[in-house]
Amino acid sequence: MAAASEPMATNTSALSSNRRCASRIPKGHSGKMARFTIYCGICAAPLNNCLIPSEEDEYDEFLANVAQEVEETGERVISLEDVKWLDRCIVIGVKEAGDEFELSHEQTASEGERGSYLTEHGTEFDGMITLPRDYEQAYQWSYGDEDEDDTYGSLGDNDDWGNGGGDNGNGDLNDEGEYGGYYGNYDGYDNNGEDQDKRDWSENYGGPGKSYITIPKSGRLAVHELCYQVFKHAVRFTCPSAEHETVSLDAQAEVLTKMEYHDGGFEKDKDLRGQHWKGNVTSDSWCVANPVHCEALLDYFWKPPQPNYTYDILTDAWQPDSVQSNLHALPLEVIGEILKHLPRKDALNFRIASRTAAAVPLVQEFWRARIVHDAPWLWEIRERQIMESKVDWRSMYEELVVDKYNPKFRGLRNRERIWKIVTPLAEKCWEVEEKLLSSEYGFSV
Amino acid sequence: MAVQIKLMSSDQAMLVVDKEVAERSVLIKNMLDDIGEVDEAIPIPNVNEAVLKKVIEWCEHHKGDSPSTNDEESDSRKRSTDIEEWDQKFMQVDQEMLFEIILAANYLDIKPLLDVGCKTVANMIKGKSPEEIRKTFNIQNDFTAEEEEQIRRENEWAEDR
Repeated sequence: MAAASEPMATNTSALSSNRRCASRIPKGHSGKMARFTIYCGICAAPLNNCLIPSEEDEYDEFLANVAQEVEETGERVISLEDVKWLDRCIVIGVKEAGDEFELSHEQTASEGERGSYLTEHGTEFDGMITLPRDYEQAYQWSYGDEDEDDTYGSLGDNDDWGNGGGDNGNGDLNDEGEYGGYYGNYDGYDNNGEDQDKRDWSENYGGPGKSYITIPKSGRLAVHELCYQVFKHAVRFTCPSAEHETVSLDAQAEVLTKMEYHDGGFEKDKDLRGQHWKGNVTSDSWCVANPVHCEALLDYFWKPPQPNYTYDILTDAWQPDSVQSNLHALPLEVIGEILKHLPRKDALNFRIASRTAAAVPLVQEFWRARIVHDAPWLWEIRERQIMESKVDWRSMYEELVVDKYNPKFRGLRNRERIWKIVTPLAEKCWEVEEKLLSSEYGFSV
Repeated sequence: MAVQIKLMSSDQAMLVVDKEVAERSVLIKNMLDDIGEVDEAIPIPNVNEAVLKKVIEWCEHHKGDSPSTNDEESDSRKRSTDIEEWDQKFMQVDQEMLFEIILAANYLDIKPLLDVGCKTVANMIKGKSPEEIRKTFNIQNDFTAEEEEQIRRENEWAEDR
């Protein structure tokens, strides 16, 4: 293990030799309100709110852009309230021997047996946050009067300090020490002429007002508090057996801090990178919409669609399957039960294959099961949080699951995206947990 | 010694089982609750000996299961879609027997066994084309093109979008 204070380079030598490039605040931008955006290790959205200027802001051009956008997309602008969740982050990590890292708010950290820990509000303490191992590098960012030459190093004369993700967002430092990654960007705006206005806007829009974040080395991962909540739902969902309750913090830390970049949202959502910080605050904003307290979803559950008509079924024309088939013997309600257990494509194929299956009336309970089966990220349904006794589950299925790109439910769309990222991680956690439990010493780090 | 009861299969075979085991069947449990202690064998007219033995074998293995976990939907995917190992082996029978077990579980009202049976059938369907499904269950394709089109139309919800 390298000395704890040294950043570890794993993928390019430039990482360790080019310390000066570690901080990506461009010259002339390090003074007031300069912000350095890092991204959540799970969802890849920024770990602070860089999306929208405060309401008092008078950036006419920005507002004009937004207005034009609204006109073009016909969608509502995401509100500051909607993206507030981006500001709340936690750090999960493992303390290692010789680790100089100390939590300044140690009382808020829960600890595992191995010294893994979980902080609350990671961005609110002067601590350290790490990025996935492949990209570890020391970053500092600061408000105020620090000496920018020392703190921020220098960047090329062309001031090309950050690409907003995009094609070259692979996290590598190039020979000039320019960071083209999507982990650390100065708000991610391309620094070319046409984006100048946006940058001015972002510069003046105050961030969360924290002093600094240092990202020194491996063993820690910063994620949104709510992304972590989605992860915990996925952990419960992937629970392998009745004996297990939850995975230990040690197992979580083991998996999350050793996450490769392609495990997170970064790689999976290539097409997202850079979008939400390029100023689209309508149609692209779903990927920074609150994934837990989803916009419009609570109201929807509060007043779910009511069943008011019967669906067409084939029962009038029903003929059983030919007698030589064993299915012939099963009553329709049993076939209905089988349909409930099938993914929707298979359910369709089964209905095309069999008269009996085609004739099964798709009762409300079937549609409810479909939601649970096809959209496990709708944990409210699985956990029976809907109070209404009468629900038109078919309508709900069509509105929340089939019509998944409905801008009305953009938080839900983001939840689905995050869910697909965290589910494999949660599965890995259970594997690690099992190894931990089966071995006295538990761990091979 | 555990209280035992007698069951009479459709082919007139007498089987003696612990009451506790037999009461995994809600039908039998309700019957016993209604009539109290009986010496005579309880007739199970829809289930033959071979199937009834199989069902009893399942009930014996699962007699300790807590009843509450059977109905409640689980928060966990594994518990709601996977079949535990013992049950998987138990269900490794020919298709005719599998369907007989499902019918018996349905008749005897043994919800968890019915679930295991339905999941087993569902697993036989998963990933197959309609034609392969027909082959698996020996179904003759007698849908007209119009009928098939109608089914597709009515099941648009299942199509990828």
